[in-house]
Amino acid sequence: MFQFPITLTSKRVRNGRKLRYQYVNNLYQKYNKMEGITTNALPTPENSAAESSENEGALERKRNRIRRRLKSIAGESYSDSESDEELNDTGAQDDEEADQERSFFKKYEKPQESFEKWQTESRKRVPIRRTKVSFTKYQRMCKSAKRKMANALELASRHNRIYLQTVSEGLEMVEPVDGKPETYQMKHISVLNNLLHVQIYRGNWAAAYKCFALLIRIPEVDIRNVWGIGNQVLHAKESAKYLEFLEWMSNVYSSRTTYPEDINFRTAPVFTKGSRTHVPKFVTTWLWEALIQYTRESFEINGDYRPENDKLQELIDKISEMLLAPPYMEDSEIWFIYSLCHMVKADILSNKFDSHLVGSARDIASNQVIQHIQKTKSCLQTCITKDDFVYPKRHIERQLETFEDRLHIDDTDSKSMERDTDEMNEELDTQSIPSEYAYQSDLSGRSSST
Amino acid sequence: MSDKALPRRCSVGAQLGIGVKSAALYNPSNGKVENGKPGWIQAYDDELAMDLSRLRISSNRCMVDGLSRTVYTDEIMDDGYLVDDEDDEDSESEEHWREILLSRLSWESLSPVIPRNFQYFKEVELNREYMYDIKSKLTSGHDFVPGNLIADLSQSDLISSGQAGTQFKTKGATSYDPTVGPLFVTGEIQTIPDLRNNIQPHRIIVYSGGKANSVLNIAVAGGKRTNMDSVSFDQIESSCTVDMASAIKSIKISNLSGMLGRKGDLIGVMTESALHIIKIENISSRHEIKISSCEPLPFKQFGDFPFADFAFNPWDLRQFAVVDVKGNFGLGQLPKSLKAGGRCQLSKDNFGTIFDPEELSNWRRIEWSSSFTRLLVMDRSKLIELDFAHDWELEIVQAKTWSRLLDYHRVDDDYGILLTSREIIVVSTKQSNEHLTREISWKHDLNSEDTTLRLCVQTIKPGGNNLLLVCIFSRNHSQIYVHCFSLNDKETSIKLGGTPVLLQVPHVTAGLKDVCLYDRSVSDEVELSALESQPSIQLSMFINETENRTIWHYIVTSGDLPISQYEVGLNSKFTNSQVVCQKDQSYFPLNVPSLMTKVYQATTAITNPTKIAEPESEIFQTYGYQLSEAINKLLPTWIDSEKSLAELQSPVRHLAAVPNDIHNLSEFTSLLQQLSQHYTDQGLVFTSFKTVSSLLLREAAEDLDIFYNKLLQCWDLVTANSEALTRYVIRDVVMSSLHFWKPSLYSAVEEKLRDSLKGPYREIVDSWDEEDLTTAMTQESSATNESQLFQGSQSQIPTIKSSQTRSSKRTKRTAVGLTSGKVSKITHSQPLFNKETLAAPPLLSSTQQLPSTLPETMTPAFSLQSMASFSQSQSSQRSKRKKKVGGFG
Repeated sequence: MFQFPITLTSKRVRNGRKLRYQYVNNLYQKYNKMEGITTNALPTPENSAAESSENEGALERKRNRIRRRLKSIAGESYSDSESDEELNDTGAQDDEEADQERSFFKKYEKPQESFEKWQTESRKRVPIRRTKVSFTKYQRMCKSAKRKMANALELASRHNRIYLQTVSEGLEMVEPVDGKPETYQMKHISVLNNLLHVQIYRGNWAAAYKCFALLIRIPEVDIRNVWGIGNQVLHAKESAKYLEFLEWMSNVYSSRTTYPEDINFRTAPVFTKGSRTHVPKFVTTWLWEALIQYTRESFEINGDYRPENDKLQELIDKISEMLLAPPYMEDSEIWFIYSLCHMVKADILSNKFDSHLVGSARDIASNQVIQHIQKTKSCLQTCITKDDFVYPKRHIERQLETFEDRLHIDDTDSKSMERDTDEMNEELDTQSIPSEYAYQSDLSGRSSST
Repeated sequence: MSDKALPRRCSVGAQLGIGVKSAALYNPSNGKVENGKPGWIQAYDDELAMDLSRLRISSNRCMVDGLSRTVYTDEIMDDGYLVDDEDDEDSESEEHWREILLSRLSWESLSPVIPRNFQYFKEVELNREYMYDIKSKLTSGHDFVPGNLIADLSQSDLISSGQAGTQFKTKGATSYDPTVGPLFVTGEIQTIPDLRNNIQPHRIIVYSGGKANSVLNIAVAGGKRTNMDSVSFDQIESSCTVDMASAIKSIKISNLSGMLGRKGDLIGVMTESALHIIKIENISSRHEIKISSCEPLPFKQFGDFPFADFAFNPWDLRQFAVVDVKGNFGLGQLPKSLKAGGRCQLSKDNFGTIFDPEELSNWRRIEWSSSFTRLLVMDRSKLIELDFAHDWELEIVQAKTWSRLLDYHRVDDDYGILLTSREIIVVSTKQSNEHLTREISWKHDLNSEDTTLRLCVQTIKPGGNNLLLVCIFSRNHSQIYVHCFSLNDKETSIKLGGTPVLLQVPHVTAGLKDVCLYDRSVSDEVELSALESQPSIQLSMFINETENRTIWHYIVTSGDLPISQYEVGLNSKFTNSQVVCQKDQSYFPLNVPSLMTKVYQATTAITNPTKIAEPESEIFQTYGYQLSEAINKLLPTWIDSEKSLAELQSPVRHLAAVPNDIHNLSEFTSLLQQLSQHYTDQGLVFTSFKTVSSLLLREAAEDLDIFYNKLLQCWDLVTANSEALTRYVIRDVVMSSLHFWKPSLYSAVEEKLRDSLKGPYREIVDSWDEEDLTTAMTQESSATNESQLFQGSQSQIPTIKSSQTRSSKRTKRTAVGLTSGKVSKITHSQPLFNKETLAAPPLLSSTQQLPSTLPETMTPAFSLQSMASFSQSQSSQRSKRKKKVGGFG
């Protein structure tokens, strides 16, 4: 019922998949031929089929092997493509068939940010294809595609033949094609996984914790596939541990390699992996969770503010290390978190600011605040330049101004500042409790002042 | 970009999942440290939304419609007409026969009066003496249709590929038609007379029915809830049926834009061959529905392929769009007035295709986007937004790699929900945006290979919040995955609320084909304040199972209202179809949990052994006393033989409390044996161990020990507490299978029965009896011989295998000079035996007798079997010795 934390593959499924991709590629070729479309940039199965001599295929295979070997020597984490490697090593014929799948995926960009490729740029607009596909045309394509793979179909198992027939008629299978565990271990994992999810949705954290603990001890299970669940479970059960867990995740699994787009098409990197251009989700989650947690803590300790156990400062140091030391992280979201860290810091310090201070002590205190405000601004500037992140700009600017105002006002006219925040809360249209609370307190404040 | 949105990445919005956080915004303290708590505005908010975990599904349900209902259409013809027709034919034929007869008969003048019961053919005497009696007549008002045909029809969109040509079905090769959309929808309808008279919109439900899924039913979903205390099912009042003459694939109710300030009155029905548009003309105060429709639009007018989906333009009441199974799409215009003869016009300019040779599935969706010239066309691997007026298209989503598009639901003008195989994505279709944009997504963690996942979205407003309840269901299981999103008041931003929940639909074992929700909670604030209760949501849920075509009505509620027995089901027309589900027990075997607790109890009893105050022999003794007392009490009640036989034989365990811990099985055996011996004098017969063991082990064992050892082999693999568990099992098995009866009672009844029989039957019975006496005797003797042989061979084969090597070792050892005491030590270290019963010398002797039959080179079998065999060979020796303990008089 739920997504497995591992990829289930069996020979049957693999063969079925190969058949499907072969069919799809054949259809694609035929369609392009009929439409007179020539694809240029990317290597297509058409290209490879046009010059499909055995020599070529062998060369290609050899090249692949060399590349793989080089990569493994280079010491990059190569665990991602284990299944592919295994797939390729199963023999010459398998290799050729796997290429069908590969050549299918070669045509498409593999996004890292999301499971699908989302595109909203209006300059990519094209005119509507004002044609219609006719039955005869489609039938010709189907026939030719089926004819080409007659041999493969003969060799395929009955189950796969039925599968291809069904799929080619446009129908879909009721039961998941490769969702069925076929060994006892897989069965075990699947049961454990289902149990884990069910317990989470029921809020039964003790049981979920046990399931999670069991699950991650199975060697095949990659913790990167279930870290979110782990975070949730730890959050609910042992709230002290979840930040540690996330930090461990980001320390161990943060990868700064370039995204190997040509091999990796079995598992989505969206939530599980990172690369040079994609910060893994567990890192951002860790930073957000830590920031929110530390903000709460630093307001809880309230009166006695001790700089020596300032976790927020530690977090700021960590992020700056990530951003400013090689290999540089160039993610706008991290920059945004960094700026928010400074902002929270500025807020805390400006709140603590004692307006009765005089002389150099006052200067030092106000300088601290100003410094953090400046940092916030510069970080936001960097974030903006990355050009893929939006945030309510004016809202933050107003808040920064408020912080600065706190340094200059005396105790007597705190009203202006209140009005400011009030305005701001109205501006920011949210229903969150704090803003309502603030509104109420403001009301009471007004009534008392009148 | 508006100033008020949450910070997020432009292209993907907020991506959330279990334990995954996304960008937040800091809302600082308000200068006053004491009061102002630091606030974070996150995309994920537990407090805003209602607590989903309080949602419950009623265990009661009522059936909306099943196969059994007869189809009634007033326009075409009804049954009465058919009957009349037949009668006419009858009288005609009678006339005809009369004429023929008259012509054949020579005495014309007599003008014979043919009696009414005249038969044209010679009456045939049928032999009415059957060899058996038919108890009930197998007459029914229905025609006979083979069961598998019904099953196939009722799952019309399921295609089992095993059927085609081949004999056997391939497991897991069932496929379905992805173009079959919702077959049960509800929506609000406002007809033109309603608009003029300013009447509130009616909620109607529209669903398909009939034997071939070709009949459309339209009904008004019933009135207001009257009281808060009881939750009743809605009354589904009158319904109007239309025969579509083709299997219905999808039903949609037009959903107009909020800008128009009214509800639609059109229903679209897509069948295998055509698209029908039905307009609701009027809904009377008694909920009678008047409809009108134009000529259906066959797909041949549009292209070569059947339709896959259609949509109504929310801004234009007369425009609709269609897409066929290969991705050709087009716009159409309805005639001005929907009446017979009126035809839908397909636009000659506005058509196109999103055909993709790589996309095999027939699933396509079409839906209006942000404005009335913009459309969204989807297949499984892409989503294309296009504008007819400005002639452009843009591939917004390309899902070739890791996910597939599964479903799309248009919420209103501003939002839509897209379900992919990985995520639920809320997309914004606001007019201010240039394109469709991703707002917020939730990784749902459901199996991404399951293509049958579907979406069901309902807007609810509990306590002033504006929530979107998103339900995901599948054909593969009966769980509904519920998540909610909350819109703020001005619908400017959307957040995710709470954690999702799983709802198990009661009574449903297979998957869900359709789920349909509508809100029926009290939303009126005046009413709420009058009731002075917490705002609780209450939803009606209609569910269509995959197994049959019955539609069930459930209540989903978050309040703690008692979900009462439904008093008002449906009105008279439906009363026959009210069904109370009784099958539950067979679905969920009740004894499994009880077994589990038993095992648990047994194991806990072992881990914390209770100190036994008295020795075991005394326990047995008291037990024996209790048992015999109980039997003595029972016996006088058996005097009236018939009465006693009418009741069931009670197993021995019901008579007296069985002692919990039985360690010494052989003593227990001897106790029971003595008991049976004692009562044999009084004419009682007990089930012997032989019978019990031959039932369970297929060999007659004299002793419980053998049984015990056999079981121990199995349990030993499972748990460390195998011994105690086995003892428990043995105790339970033996005590529940031990019965006793009095043969003399039976003989009296037998005699009586025999006397009641007539001559030939009695002879048969008598002959049986004789045969029984002679052959049974021989059979028995041979059986016992055989079984002894069998038992011997069975039990000895493993013995030989294992003990042979042991004994050979042993002989070697003795040759080396080891004492036999060491050997006995080895056996003692095995925890299988009670030390008191197991003495070393007999074991040694018994094992030493065996090896002579075996070659020395035989490999040892695994040791457990050897244990069993040891005790077997041993216990047969011991059984005689060990009858001293216990006893009673």
